[in-house]
Amino acid sequence: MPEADYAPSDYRADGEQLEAILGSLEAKVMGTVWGMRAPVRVREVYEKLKREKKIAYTTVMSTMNTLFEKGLLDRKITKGRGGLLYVYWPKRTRQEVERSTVKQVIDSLIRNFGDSVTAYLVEMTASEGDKAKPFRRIKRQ
Amino acid sequence: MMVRPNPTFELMQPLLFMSVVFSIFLAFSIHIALKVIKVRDPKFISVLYLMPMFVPIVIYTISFQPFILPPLGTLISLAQIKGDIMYEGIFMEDAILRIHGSQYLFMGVTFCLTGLTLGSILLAFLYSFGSRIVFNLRELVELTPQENPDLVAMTQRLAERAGIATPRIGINEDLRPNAFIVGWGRKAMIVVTLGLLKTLDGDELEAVLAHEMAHIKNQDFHFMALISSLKAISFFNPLVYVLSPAIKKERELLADDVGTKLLERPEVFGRALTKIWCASKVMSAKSKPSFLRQWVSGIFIISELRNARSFLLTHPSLEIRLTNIAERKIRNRASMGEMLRTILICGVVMSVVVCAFGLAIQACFPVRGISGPLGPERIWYRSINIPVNQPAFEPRPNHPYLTMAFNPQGRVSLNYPWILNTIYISIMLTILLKIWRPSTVFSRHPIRLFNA
Repeated sequence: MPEADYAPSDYRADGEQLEAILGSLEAKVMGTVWGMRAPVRVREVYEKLKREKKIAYTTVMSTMNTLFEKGLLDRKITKGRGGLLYVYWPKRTRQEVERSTVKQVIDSLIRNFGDSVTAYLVEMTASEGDKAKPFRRIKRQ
Repeated sequence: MMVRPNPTFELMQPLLFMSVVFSIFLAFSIHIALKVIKVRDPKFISVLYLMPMFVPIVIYTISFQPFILPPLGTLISLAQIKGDIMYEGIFMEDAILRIHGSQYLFMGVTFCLTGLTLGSILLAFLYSFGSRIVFNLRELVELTPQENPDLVAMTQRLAERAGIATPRIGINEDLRPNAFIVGWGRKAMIVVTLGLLKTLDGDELEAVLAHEMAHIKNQDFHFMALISSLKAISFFNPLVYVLSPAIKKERELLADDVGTKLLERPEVFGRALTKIWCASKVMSAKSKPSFLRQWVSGIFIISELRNARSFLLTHPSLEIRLTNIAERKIRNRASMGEMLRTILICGVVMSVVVCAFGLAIQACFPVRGISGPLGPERIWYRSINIPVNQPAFEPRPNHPYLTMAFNPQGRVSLNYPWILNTIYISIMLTILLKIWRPSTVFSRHPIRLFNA
């Protein structure tokens, strides 16, 4: 049975990339986990993030727990050097999360502002500016 | 004639034999004395049970010290404690050294050298690298004060009540609830696991921290380091594998007692222990720690709160601990009178046992012309008197590393056992002075040499 789409709880228009749907640290942690070979431990993510800026271990630990509760990470208990501990891995790829987010946001926009969305899309495909490049590509396809 | 070493003979070497037998006798005497006087002070009991582990050091000191031996030898021969036996006018050990191709003293002195080396290295290692090893093995992370201000405030409060410097706090990812101490003095760190933080509430966590704080206050790191090194020295003695967990149990009871006195509601600690025990039971079913991890943990880590599920438990049972806490057994420290009575009874029992043993051996193994009083040398002498073991009194060079102080030519040669023994005693005395702080003791009872 395919996984249900990821549905972000909110979308911040002024956020950059993942920060539009996640907190700043959550976005950093997810980015780090995607960049590492799964499964990963809290300590490994902490060590990596610590190199970029000062961060508390317990903060990384609670952030990864939150991401698990949000359905972006999965985890299991495994035996390691520190004892019995959680290892995490991403439940979805970055592309899946992005696509799912876009789908949710656009579906919502269409549901609430259907006519305005259609008018905007037509305007964009006809426009010559840089902002309209992705729309012209769609039109060509 | 080439002589074949006889394993029975080698095990009966007085040096080896006496260090095992005397420690067993002393442990037995202490056990009887404690039963008679009914002392309940865990501090006193743990120190008493440590004494048999010092027996080999005493035996080696008497056997190997070259400079004190001649005057001491006269005293000892009068008391006949050392038990050296004479054969045709020379010390038996000396004679054995001369046997062509002889290995006879090798096992005893080899065990002694190995034990002293292991004990000294372990002691130096514990103090130099112990904390770092635990940090890496358990993958600990030190918590900054900003990370968990409640936990830090709790620790500070308890440290003030205990009258010690605030220890650092560390965290371990382990999902099993546990807490333990790493390091000593100002560098001590209380480590809590993720499992503990999830299992216990605020008051219960404070109770656990109080218990760990008590270990720091009781200087248990030094105590455990001493036990580990003495255990290494007497690695061939089965008694140390029984005494060591017994002593650790008493130190745990002492920490329970001292720790609950730091709390406003001591019964909370009982609740915390029960929760930990239940949670540990569930989690332990998922995995068993490897033997290496258990062994290293046992040496380097002080007071793992979780009950170990090993044959020789280092923690008292949950029932005993809960009973002590619930009944608020404020353990009065043993009075001077009780301590002296215990030591006296121990001395009496020890003397009786030693004499009985000596008589029994003399009755079973009568040997003419032997002046040794106690027994092992009689068994030893009997075994060397079978033809294959008969000494030949030709001066022969011995293995240089095993040359004893009293060699046939009477020259003091390089005595490796003595050197190692002295090094170990020096390290041990340094540690004991740190624990007992004689400067504090003497400041309370100043010795005035001159009138001010």
